[in-house]
Amino acid sequence: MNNIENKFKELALKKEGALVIGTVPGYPDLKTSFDIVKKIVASGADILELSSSFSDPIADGPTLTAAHQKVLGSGVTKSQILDFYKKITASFDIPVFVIEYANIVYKIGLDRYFKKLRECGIDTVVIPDIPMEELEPFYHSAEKNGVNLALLIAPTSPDERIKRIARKSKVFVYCVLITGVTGAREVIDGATAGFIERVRKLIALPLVAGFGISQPQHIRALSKHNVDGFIVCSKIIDIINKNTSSKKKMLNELGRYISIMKSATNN
Amino acid sequence: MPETLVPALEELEDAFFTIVKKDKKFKAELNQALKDYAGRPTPLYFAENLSKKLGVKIYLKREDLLHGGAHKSNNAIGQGLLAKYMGKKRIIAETGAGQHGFAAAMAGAFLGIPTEVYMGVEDIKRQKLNVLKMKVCKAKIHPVQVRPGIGTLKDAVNEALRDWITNIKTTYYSIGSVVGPHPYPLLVRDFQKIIGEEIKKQILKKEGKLPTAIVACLGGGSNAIGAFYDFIKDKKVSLIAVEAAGKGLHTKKHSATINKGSDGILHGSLSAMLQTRDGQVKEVHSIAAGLDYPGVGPEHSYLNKIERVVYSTATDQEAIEAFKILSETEGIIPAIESAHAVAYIIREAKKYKKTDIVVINLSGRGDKDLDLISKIL
Repeated sequence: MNNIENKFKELALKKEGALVIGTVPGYPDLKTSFDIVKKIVASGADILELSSSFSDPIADGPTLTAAHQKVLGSGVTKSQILDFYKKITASFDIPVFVIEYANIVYKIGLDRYFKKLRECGIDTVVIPDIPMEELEPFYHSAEKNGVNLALLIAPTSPDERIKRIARKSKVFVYCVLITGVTGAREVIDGATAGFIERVRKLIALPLVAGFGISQPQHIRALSKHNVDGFIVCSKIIDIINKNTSSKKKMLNELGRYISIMKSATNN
Repeated sequence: MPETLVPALEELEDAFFTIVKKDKKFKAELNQALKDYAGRPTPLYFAENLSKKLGVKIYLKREDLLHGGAHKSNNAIGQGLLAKYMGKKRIIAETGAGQHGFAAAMAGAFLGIPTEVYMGVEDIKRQKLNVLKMKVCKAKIHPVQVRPGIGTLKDAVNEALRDWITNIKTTYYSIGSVVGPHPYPLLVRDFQKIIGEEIKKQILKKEGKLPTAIVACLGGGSNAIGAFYDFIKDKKVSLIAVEAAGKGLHTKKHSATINKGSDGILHGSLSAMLQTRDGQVKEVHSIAAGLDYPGVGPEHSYLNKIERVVYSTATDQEAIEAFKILSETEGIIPAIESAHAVAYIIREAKKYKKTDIVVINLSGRGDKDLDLISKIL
């Protein structure tokens, strides 16, 4: 059992949901990014998501796309990012997973990529642009190298497909809440509730919801439908962007926001 | 491709096999539109003056004479009609040079389906005429930029995909080339293969034999695959695709994907692409906005691997020169994209015999490029 699974187990006993806080490694720069992660851990996040930069992130909305662009534009290399992962896993006691677009894994080489990730102390990955149909080589290489691939489902996925995805998924299932791209949203509507109800019946693994979550009431609403975890990432980048002039204020704002979000998971 | 899009791609695949491949009514309606609205078949013109100048028999497949000004109309009308048969209420498209954008706008107007086009800010600047043409046909244009002032074809594809992910039920995504996820490369190739089928009939009628070579420019690869497809099994016909070498293959400023790229996953297909060692997609360059794409259709990647098609290149400078030569010798102003194919034969003519027959797919006309050319000449 890996540390993400342990975390879900531990939280389930306390009848708490997992707050998954995401950020873009290297954003706005490597040094600040490390301090941001430190703050995320200190403020009570249960799991850390690292949304690794890609030049063409088609599942991401404007906030994350711009952050990815900025990291790549600053000249940060993959090897620097891998060193950053290593530093994070060595410094903090928080379960971590990485979001990585398929081409990065493919270009580096499947075995080589998963092996490197393992060496950095990370054993769970989400690849947002590999559907079931193309999963096989990634799945086998990940498995061989001791890395878990958590798969995604979307509101457009039919029941049978969701069941098949759930059978293959490791550690958790990433439930994309809306038909759309990532980004903080004001309202999470009734259709979402219906979708969650539908998938909850089909999936035994921990169900982690993402895309759009930005407010404590979103978490409270989703908690009613037995969602196990809540991913917040774009809103974190928004807070960073609003406070670029003062790092102290940025970290304070992040801390305050994360604690408020965490308190919403205590149902 | 993200999971969200998979059911839509399955729906499209199903429509491809049941409607495009089998539905007689659809086929009849498409043929009628291609004939009466778009102006097919397009002529295969013997370019006598250019032939004399270069010492080889040159025919031009006049896709530039299609309504819409480029081969893109074949595909945009096909996909537009498919959208109608699938009951979609809105069409989105991406465009580089504006040729597919305008073709989609024109098809949208013709079929009565509101159309929105994603276009990079750099391309909007260099292809003003096509932007105006789209607007006149009531298409809404979404400018795309990834950083201030930076945005071309691949960025427009990204934004169109994001729109599609968001509006999947109502919207049809009309992709402009043989790129993207399955079934698009097959779908677009099927709508474009009429070019090669016509070339074959026409050249047999005029010359009584198949050509020595067929030459086409290559960005995503739709006009090239359209011209080549019917000849793939005719092994004696050499097929030559011409990529944009921009400021030279030794520089970073080109978009010669097959010549300088490596395998990667972009926009839902595994094909050659221009990327960094870390797998980041490179920013590419060509004077031709329609060739300025870091990927290429997966079928071209395959045809390269089996060595059935030769993938050559032409620089910006060679394309400008070819643009001038064709305009001056034949009174035909080619699109700067198509001028890359002309540039190839100008450079390589001496390798051919006087009796050899070379067909150039003149994929588009050059009105849209006059602004750009007037600044250079």
